[in-house]
Amino acid sequence: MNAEMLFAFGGIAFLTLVYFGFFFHRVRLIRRQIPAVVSWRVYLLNIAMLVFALACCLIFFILLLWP
Amino acid sequence: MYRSHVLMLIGKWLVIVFLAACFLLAVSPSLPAAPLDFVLLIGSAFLIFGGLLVTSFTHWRVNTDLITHDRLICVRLHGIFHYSVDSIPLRKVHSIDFRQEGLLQNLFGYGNIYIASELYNEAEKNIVLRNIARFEELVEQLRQGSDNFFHQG
Repeated sequence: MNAEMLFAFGGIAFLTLVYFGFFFHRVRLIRRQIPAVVSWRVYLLNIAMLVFALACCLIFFILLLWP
Repeated sequence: MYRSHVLMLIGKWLVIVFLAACFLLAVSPSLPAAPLDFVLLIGSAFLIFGGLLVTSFTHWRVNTDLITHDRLICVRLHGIFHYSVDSIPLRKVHSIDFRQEGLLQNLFGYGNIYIASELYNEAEKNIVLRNIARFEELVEQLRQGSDNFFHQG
């Protein structure tokens, strides 16, 4: 496994996680204020992307610490 | 509930897919031999371009114009740190104009709506709702709403 590739993947996963963390927080606030605007499908799609980014971060750490 | 035409979203998605294709073409001559590296590369591409697709779709869905019996509410999500909800009382609406400009707007039946109001807030005084699908319906509702207030007194 290429170390550069692994760190690039980890960096992208971390940045995506941070971005989607903020983005999901914003979407959640809008859903709370105006529920009609954010449907549950949009909400689920954002949760799915957040979970995917989180899973990628976990995979990065697992691969990094793999003996 | 009104939002911009779906063509706006498709346009953004086409740009993202084009960028993804360019990225894959650029990396294809030096594709990693190890299967795990290949998976990491595809995962990174999916994180970037999948993220862009999801955020553009969310922006399109959230940026809506709601009309109630007495006001027009414009919800705008510009970015993660820029979000606005403008509420315009229909009794304050001065004029409602609409325009269809260009080939695409005429072909697909969407248009811009220009609303001038008596509000003192400069940002809300003249509002432009761009590329609205079913814009005739919204204009009709806005005119009915403002006419009701006008006739009431």
